[in-house]
Amino acid sequence: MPADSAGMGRRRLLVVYPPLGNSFYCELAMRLSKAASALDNTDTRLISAADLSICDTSWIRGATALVVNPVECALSGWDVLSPLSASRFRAAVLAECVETRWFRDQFDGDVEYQAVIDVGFVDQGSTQPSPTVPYRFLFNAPLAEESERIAAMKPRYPRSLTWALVAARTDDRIRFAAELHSILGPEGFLFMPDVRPVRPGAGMLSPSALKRTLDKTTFYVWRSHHDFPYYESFRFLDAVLSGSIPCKIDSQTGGDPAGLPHTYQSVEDLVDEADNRSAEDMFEEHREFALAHGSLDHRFRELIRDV
Amino acid sequence: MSRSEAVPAAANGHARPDHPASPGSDGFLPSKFQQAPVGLTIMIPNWNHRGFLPRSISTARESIAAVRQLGYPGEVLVIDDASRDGSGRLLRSLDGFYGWDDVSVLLLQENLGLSEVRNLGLELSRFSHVLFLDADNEVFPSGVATLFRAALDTRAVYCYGNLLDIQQGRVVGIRSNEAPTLRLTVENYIDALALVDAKQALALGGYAHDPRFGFFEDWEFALHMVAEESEITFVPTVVGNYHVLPLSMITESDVPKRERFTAQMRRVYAQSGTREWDPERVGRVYHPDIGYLDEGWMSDA
Repeated sequence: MPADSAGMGRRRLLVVYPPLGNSFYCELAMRLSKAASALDNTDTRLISAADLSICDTSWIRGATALVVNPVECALSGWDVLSPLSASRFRAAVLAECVETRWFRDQFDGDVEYQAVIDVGFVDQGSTQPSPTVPYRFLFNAPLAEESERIAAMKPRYPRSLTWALVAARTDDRIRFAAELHSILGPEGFLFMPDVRPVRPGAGMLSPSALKRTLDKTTFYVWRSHHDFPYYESFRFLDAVLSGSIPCKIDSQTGGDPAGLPHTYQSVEDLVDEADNRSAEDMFEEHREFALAHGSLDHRFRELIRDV
Repeated sequence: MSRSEAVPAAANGHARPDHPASPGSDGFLPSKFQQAPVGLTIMIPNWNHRGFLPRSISTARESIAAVRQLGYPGEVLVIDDASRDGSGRLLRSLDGFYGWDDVSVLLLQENLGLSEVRNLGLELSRFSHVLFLDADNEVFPSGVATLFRAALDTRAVYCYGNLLDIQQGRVVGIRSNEAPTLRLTVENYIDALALVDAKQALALGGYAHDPRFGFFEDWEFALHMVAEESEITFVPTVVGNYHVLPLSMITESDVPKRERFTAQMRRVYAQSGTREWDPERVGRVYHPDIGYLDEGWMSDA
């Protein structure tokens, strides 16, 4: 990524987040912005895509722009991103399975990207569908401050809520919720509205509400909303940061994919493990994974240097 | 079963039975003028659902037991709306055979309709809160206890939670799974299986018995609460099973009527046709183990 010569040698980093889209991507933008704040010799701005049109164009011209989920940034029209055409370097930042349309559709707009940065636990470079845009992988490690919190955490179990399922409604997930209720127990938290953007006024859970929920939850369970192998790294971090045990259920995955946290093939498998191990032990395994891959700050610094 | 009474329906309303919630030698004193003790009545309105009554009564009793474990009293109140399928005989048999002390039964001699029966349940409840359980559905004790705790904590007039749709023994859907927003002006996604503060609900006029709203009395009540700025609270827990039956109340042949009633509802409650996009808060999300869950957005700061 080219350094900026206009700002007395200081790099300009512009992190663009979607104002109308899913708040999950706002969180991602904020985490990147925090990671960028640890960079030397760099001015970082976190800005809503809606505000790009009033942003100082001379500042944009010398900046490296990281656009978090371009499709969501452009919900009110692709033209909101057009000021970025003047930037020195543009990268789309995504946290999606590359085989889904939520990844593929990101490159439909007029803005050309010099890189796509995929934030997750597994490098998907070999399968990414847009070979014309160079792929970069960013391991979704905790921020340094998050690592400290995770290391110091001493969760106690059982918690008042045995399980929590927070996801948009699909037929599969409804059956999944029924399984959780009947097999894992009735003391669960079920938030499964129809799919729509997670934002104020839409009757959805805010990130802080999710955190408060997971603070009271033993098992944070989820399933993918598609059939491709993928591990949702943000779900994992949300759980571990609250002392909840991340439990991805994936009936199609045979055994644990390399380099990923433990995945359960069924709710029964989860119950079997919970019957044979203490919750403290199960959490410890995930804490170790979370702390074994450095910090996002460090990973981000390496990525910026190498791009 | 403490009593099983046959109640005649008067031409201009209905006579009330001698019920602890309606004392007085001269007949009925509506409970909305009284301070009922804090507790829960699970009210089962029944009309020709004889085959389902054992299940609904059984799960209601289990749920009342869960509420009693919280330290609050409760009862099951079955009001049969002049069924013609032998429900009355079944209820009398159950009464004689089991002699439950936590179940009361009223047998109406003339059919009043669902809205009026629900309002009767609100009036006759011995306790502060009423959970409406249609005779063909079932509730889970844990979910009911959680709803009840949420109702006490929030003082909301209406608390509801997730219901799983069951058809032929399989899970086929979910309802009452959304927080209250102004999308309620587009369609009703809140089922009547909910826990209601009886006094507040009666003060609002209860369920409307208005032919202009047809079979959408639940929806009208929800929108009425929104209009009155009464608190509706979604509790993210699994409360019960909603059994989807071949003879469910609204069928495909009712589509024209449904469209007409929907138009009427929107004419009354959403005249501009744009309210569904209004970010105004019309209800809350609350879980008693966590607290309110509809706050914490960046824009709240």
